[in-house]
Amino acid sequence: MSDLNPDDLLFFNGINGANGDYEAQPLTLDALAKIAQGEKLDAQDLKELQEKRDAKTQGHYAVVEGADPKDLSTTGWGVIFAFADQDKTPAIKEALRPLLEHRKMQAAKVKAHYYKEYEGPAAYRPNESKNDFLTRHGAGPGPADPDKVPYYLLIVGDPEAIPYRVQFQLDVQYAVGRIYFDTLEEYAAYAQRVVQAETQAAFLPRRATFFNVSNPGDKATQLSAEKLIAPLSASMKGDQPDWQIDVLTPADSTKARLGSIFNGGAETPALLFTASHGMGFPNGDPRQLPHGGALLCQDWPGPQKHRGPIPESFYFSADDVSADANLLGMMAFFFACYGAGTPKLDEFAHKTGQRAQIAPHSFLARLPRRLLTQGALAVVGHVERAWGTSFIWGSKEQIAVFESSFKRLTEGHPIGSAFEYFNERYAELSSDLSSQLEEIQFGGAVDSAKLASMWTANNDARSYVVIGDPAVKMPVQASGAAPTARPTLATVSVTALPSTVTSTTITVQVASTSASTLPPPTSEGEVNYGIGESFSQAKESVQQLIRKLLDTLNQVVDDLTSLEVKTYVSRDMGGVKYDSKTRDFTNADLRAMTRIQLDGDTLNVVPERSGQIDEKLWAIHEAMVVQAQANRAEMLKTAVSLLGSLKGL
Amino acid sequence: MPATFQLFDTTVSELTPDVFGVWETRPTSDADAGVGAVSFGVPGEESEEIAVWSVNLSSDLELAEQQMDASAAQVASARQGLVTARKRLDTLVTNQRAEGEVSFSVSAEQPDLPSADQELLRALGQIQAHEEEVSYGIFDGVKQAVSKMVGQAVTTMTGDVEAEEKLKAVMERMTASLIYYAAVETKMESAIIARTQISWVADANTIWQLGARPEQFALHQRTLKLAIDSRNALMRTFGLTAEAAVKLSVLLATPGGALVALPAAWKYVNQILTEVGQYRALTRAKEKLRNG
Repeated sequence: MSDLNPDDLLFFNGINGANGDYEAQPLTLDALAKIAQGEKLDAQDLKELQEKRDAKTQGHYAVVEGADPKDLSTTGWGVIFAFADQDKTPAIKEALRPLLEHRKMQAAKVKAHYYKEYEGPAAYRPNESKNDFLTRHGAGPGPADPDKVPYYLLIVGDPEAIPYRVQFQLDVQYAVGRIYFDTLEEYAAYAQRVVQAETQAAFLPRRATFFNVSNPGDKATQLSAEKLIAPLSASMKGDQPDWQIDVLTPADSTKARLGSIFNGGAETPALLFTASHGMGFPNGDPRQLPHGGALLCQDWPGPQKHRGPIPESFYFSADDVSADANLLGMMAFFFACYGAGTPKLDEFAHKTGQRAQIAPHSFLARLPRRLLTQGALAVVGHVERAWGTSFIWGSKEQIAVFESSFKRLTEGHPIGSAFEYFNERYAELSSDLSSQLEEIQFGGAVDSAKLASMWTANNDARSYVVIGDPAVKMPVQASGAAPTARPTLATVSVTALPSTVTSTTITVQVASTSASTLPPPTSEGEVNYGIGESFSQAKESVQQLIRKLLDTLNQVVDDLTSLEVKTYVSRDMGGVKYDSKTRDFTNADLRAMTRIQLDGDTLNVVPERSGQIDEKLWAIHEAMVVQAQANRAEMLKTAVSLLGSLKGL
Repeated sequence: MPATFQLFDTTVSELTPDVFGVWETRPTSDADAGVGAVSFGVPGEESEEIAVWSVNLSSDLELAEQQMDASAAQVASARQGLVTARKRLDTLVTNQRAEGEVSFSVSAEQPDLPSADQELLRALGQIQAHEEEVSYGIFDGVKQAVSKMVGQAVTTMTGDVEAEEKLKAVMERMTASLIYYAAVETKMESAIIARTQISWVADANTIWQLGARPEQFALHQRTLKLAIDSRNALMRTFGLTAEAAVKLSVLLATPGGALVALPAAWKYVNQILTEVGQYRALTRAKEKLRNG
């Protein structure tokens, strides 16, 4: 890093569509270093990141020893729904049924519990941290152990229901992907097309295309063309001689050309890599939700020649994907700001700790979601702003993470496993960054260049996510195989969807302007209330409630690890608040606490008054402990009795 | 002042009568509107609390004790009611099976049967008839199916929409109560003396008004016990309902009989609990009269 000086600028890959400016002006290293010093890393997350880094240096992978990342029966596969979506989950699950059954067959082949559906009480709960979620399911830090939680995890839900930060942290040790669609038909389309791609002979020719934007007068894309695409494509050519590697010239990297690549015709490769600016919009801009993260093409003449709002003719969005595009089996990597999604709050926390709101809510970019419904298996992209430090370290390119990931992907690894290198880089950078910040905190000198680069690189590596099932593999033909046509996209069948859903639109998050190939949502009036159906629906809904209750009971009984009783006092009960997140009262004095572990270990915190034990309060507290023990015994008896009764149903 | 025992529950949307006759169950929004005056929590703020059990007692300690005694007796009566319900159900099933060919008719043969039993048999008869109707529907073709759709737009398992909806609501409430924290608070003349946040597995954080007297402390402990006993009683009631449904299913020649009998069983158990509660109240009133 010594060849950088504090006045050097770092570049983002994002353009503000509303005014044509850079999404964020390039920052000096000094400015970034100051922001970095305001960063607080979660202690538990940091511990895991350090373990991940150490595991890497010892040659370990993210999954336990003996598991083969290419074989789901050894790694496991699970799907995580959000508790906040519990009303929609049954319908979404039904739409995903073909994929779930397909994965179950693969993952539960040897051990049934290697396939998991986290729903109902087992679902991700609001405000839960990644560690809380894993602990609740019996998993601790360290490599993914499929006996507890499967290695491949598909998150189903938008980033409001299951936050990006949970996905980032979960991704450190697990291979994680996410899907979220607006309609059940889209879920059904994705599920059915993944199964279609995976259950027939490999059909895609070994072909990768690099979409290589370098806008005039724009330092960011010039850097990505020169220091990312050029060396990466060259390395891939050398490493995969049986692959056809097409590198478009900047002049060819236009919106029209990208349209041809995405139309499912002769130009559509198995793997597409794009490097460009991603479109950003101000919070609340009407184009933010439908076009956030769209790819700005060579049509943009650069910052000097174009002033003012960016027209749609310069960028490629979900609206530009043809309704009959057949992208079956394709995978894509978008190096672009917001290419995968946008968080509600600015990830670049300033020293004050204030995070500005940059979107009405966190959302997944629409372009990758659209591609998934047209047969693409997965898209890797960036949440928030992407930085040059993704591929430049010091003043030199540093693309080993990209090279290694693509090597694994082209050699048959599922995408979640292939992109473990990004997680390892994140782990390494976080641990180093933390040490650096600690040094500074205790009086060490601030090396602006080093700190800023580490911090931005850390944010970058963390924010790459897989949109799609993390267990999908590229269905590429063997080397030298005779070319075959891409199979026709299977017609999406939605007949299996539950008729209890009165409208197939789940939420209207994005004001879509695109024509869809999918059938329009069934209107409420078309719901069939036939006698036989309503009867079985009623039976089914009761059955679902019983299942949910049973799962919850089992979960609660499993979760018992300790009993905790706390006693507080307050002069002003009216001023007391209960914080449901920390499970503590605020504006009150904690006077006594008892924690009894399952193995009998007991921790007591005893109240004092004028240097003496406050006997009166302690007696009250002890009485509460005795009562809590009696309550627990009674509650458990009730739970066991209820479990027995329910199992008869 | 008369004591109030209120349960503010986020899963209910309107005032709901409580089967044990103790807790007046209200939607949480009532508390926000000041009806129940829940003491803690910021309006509009998301909370993991699903229910607040709030007891407001007289400031006269002796009277407050009596008020608690009365409610505790009602919950105890509910537990007794469960024993009675189980016995009644077993007798009913045994008698029905003893008849050989199961008949759900209650018109002339069993005029002395208690009303809850009669209603249950009628409901089972409807289920049986309904299942047959549905089976025939498959063979009768489109015309008959359409006429049924027009004639009866929404059909439930037993035809008793209310019982079925109540059952589902209770199941939702029970599930939610296993996941979320509940709050239990004791007030005297509307002044709060203690509040406990309690999880289903009994972790408890309690806050006391500084200077509360030991007797008040004992009252809050009783409130806590009453709330927990009530929740457990609800779970046991549901457990008995499930057992009842399984027992009744042997009388039904329908697939998944236990499931379809569930709402009827729920109604039956609750009717017996009400009967037992009324009987106990009557007995207590008589004793009071006798004792002057």
